Amino acid sequence: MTDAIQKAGAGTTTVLEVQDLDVAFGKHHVLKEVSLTVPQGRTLGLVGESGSGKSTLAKAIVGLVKPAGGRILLDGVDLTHTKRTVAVRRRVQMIPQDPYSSLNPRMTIGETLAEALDPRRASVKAHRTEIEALLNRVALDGEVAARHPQEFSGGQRQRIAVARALAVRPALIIADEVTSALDTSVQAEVLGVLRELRRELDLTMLFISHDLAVVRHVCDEVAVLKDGELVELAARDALFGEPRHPYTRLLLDSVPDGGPLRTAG
Amino acid sequence: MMQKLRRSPALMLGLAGLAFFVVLGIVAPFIWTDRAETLTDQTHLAASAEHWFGTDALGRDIFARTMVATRLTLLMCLATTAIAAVGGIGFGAAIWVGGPRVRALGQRVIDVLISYPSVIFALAMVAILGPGVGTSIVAIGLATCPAFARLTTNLAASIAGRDFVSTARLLGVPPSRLLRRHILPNIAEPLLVLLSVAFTVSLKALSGLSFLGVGVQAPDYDWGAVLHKGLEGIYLNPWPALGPSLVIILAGLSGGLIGDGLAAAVNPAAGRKRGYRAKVEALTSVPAYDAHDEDALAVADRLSVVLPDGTRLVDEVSFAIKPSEVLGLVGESGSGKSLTAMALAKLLPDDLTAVAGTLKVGDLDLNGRPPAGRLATEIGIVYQDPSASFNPTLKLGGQLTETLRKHGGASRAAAAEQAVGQLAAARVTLPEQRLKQYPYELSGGMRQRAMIASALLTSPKLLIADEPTTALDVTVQAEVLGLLREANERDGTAILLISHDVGVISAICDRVVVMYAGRIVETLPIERLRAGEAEHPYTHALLAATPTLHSPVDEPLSSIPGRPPHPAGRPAGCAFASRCPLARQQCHDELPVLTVTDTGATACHALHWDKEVLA
Ligand SMILES: Nc1ncnc2c1ncn2[C@@H]1O[C@H](COP(=O)(O)OP(=O)(O)O)[C@@H](O)[C@H]1O
Ligand code: SF4
Ligand SMILES: [Mg+2]
Repeated sequence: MTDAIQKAGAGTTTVLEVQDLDVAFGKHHVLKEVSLTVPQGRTLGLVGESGSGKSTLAKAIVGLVKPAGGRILLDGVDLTHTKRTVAVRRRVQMIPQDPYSSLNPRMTIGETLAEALDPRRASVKAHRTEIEALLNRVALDGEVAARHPQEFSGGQRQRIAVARALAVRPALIIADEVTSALDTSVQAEVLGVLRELRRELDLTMLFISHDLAVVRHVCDEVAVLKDGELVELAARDALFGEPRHPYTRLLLDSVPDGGPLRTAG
Repeated sequence: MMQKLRRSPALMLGLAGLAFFVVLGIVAPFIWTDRAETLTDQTHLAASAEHWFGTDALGRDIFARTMVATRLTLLMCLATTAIAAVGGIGFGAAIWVGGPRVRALGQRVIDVLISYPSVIFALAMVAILGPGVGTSIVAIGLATCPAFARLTTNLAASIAGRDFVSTARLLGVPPSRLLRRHILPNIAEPLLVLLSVAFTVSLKALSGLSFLGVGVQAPDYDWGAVLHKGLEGIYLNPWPALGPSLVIILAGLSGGLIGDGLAAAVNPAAGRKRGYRAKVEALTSVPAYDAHDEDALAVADRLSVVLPDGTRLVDEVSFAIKPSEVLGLVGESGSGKSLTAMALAKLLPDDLTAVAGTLKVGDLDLNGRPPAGRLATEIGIVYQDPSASFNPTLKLGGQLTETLRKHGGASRAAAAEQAVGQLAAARVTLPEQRLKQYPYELSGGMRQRAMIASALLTSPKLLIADEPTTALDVTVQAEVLGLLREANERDGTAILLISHDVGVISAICDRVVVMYAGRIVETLPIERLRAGEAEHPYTHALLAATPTLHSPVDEPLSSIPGRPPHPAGRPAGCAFASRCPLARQQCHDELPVLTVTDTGATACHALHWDKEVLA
């Protein structure tokens, strides 16, 4: 199944490699032998229904959940059983789902970004130019640094969260349902920013979403999770053009895609 | 933080009281010390113009003693509260930072400590250290620590679950900074409330100790000590006891009022909206599009939903639902879809008023006072969140059959039989057993099916479904949409389907109404929406911003710059003008009205301009 990825990513280095990952909470097996790779500069979409294990995979990658088996390699280094240093932790950054809980309401945007640049001292003054450059990257004006999150719309907050992740220059960005709390037009705005950044900064990204149409617009490859198992992994056009697994087909047929309802009730 | 606190009368009164006592504490010793401490032979005098609270056994003026005692009492309260707050918040924060194991142990310790009454703890300390000012302060201060510690850990835990804290951890923010910058500032307000409560509690506890004779010792005296002395002759002369008690009560009351006021000010939901009646403006004179449709099942003619201050959250929307029609209502969040639907079901929150030329479903006139029974049976409702529409503490059976039994006159057994039938029709598995289950025992999809079954149970003429699939997975969404369509085809139930998702609307509707900023901008048949042939620039923009499985992926989705106006700031002209690529001066000046087109109706000036413009 990985041949599609290898073809697509030929000649590039692998940033993330997940090998036979198992995660269990008590007796409940949440991830079963999941393997995938994300090459440098590519975006892998991770789709599946609620409870399929998408967020658990993300948490395992950032080190918030301990795997029961398998390995997680970042830039070829096995992180599975080592205690992660701050430097290692900063290599993977997450953009959270909820724009209303992802920014500290008591800190200005500038302070939030300064903290990402330098988590110990977090001086806004010392990083003024970098903060402005980051904000400009996500199409925001430098002067917003002095304001608080409450003054921004969901889309703007989500762009600030993207800027915070960029501040760290991480090897890998994990975007977990970053547009699912947003309105259609705002979603388009955030997807546009991500698309731009991918092109300009050669970002490597794991893009988690339950929305197949969104994933199609963002990702190079797509992995489909069902009940903790990876049922299909393919390049975007292959997966949307000729889905091979029946579950992928069911998912695609269920998407309300502008036409009359297709699947029977 | 303080600028956000709204000033309530309670808070102001409490602060005034506190200020009074602080001033008293500062000046009293200068004025009254002589009278308070000079021994005279006028012992045990009753209250009089000269001695307001009488005199004590040594002939000292009790009013003066009470006044002078203010300073020591307040200073002791302050010190006690400081010990409690610093110690408690420090302990709470320390065990929170300490990691899961330390936290579990720490919480156990707090639980044990909190279960001992603070006065017992204080008495034990007095027994060990001997009575005195210092002992009282330390004893009551330490005894109040656990309350602060518990609140701090609980609040910290709730904040720690927020995404910005986990992100800060990923960024490598050290724990001390995490606490200082992310946790404490976000829990400062409830802690402040506790601080004022602790002040009041320590006043009572300190006075209690002195009153028992184990607190402040002569020659020092606080209010409690004055009260203790005053009690000696209470049967002959109540004032020496009543006077200081009154002062303690007044000071306690001030502290309590501050606590209540702060709590109310911190809670954004409390004390808002004074609620004067809406000044309802006259309706525009022309009954609008669709409203005179004779065959329509439901009609809303110039329906507005108005806030008490006169703001129109929904601004003169007009539409009709034909019998057996599935009408879609689409628009982004805040566009007024839910309020429109709730007005049609007569379920608006109390502070909102619906105003309309005509508002009816069948022969039910919703502008008047329709009988509750008919409302409940003729209009069915399905909400986005099925867990919010079922009572979690009651079994499904009773909830499903309630309307049938109450308003339909059905017996328990007959109602249950019908419920099982509807559940089966909605393809709820094991329908008989579900009646004996609680809502939480069903999955989200099953619950939503049960909700639909419940709404259809009374054979309503109109089913209102407000974002019924937004919380569901895509495969379950398809099934639930299928169910709605099926109910429509089987029973001819008309449906008003609300969604922010053009795809969902396209899936099962016959016709669609597009809302923007509280107004209807367009209505069109579903075929035109599916084909992307909308007339209104907003509908166009919405379609272009929606990702699909078939649109080209090599160019970015077009987004709509800016945000919709807030209801209070809705412009007089077209509400979309600030974001519309076609906008001209006319758009800013004049409100476009819905104009009937070949297939629907559109509210856009461009319709009347040169036809090429829209092409
Ligand atoms: N009870 C209420 N009091 C004050 N404003 C409200 C209330 N309910 C809704 N609103 C406001 O009315 C507007 C329309 O809300 P709503 O009908 O819920 O929109 P939608 O369902 O399209 O998302 C929004 O600006 C919303 O903030
Ligand atoms: S009326 Fe004017 S501003 Fe409004 S949608 Fe039409 S063209 Fe755009
Ligand atoms: Mg709504």
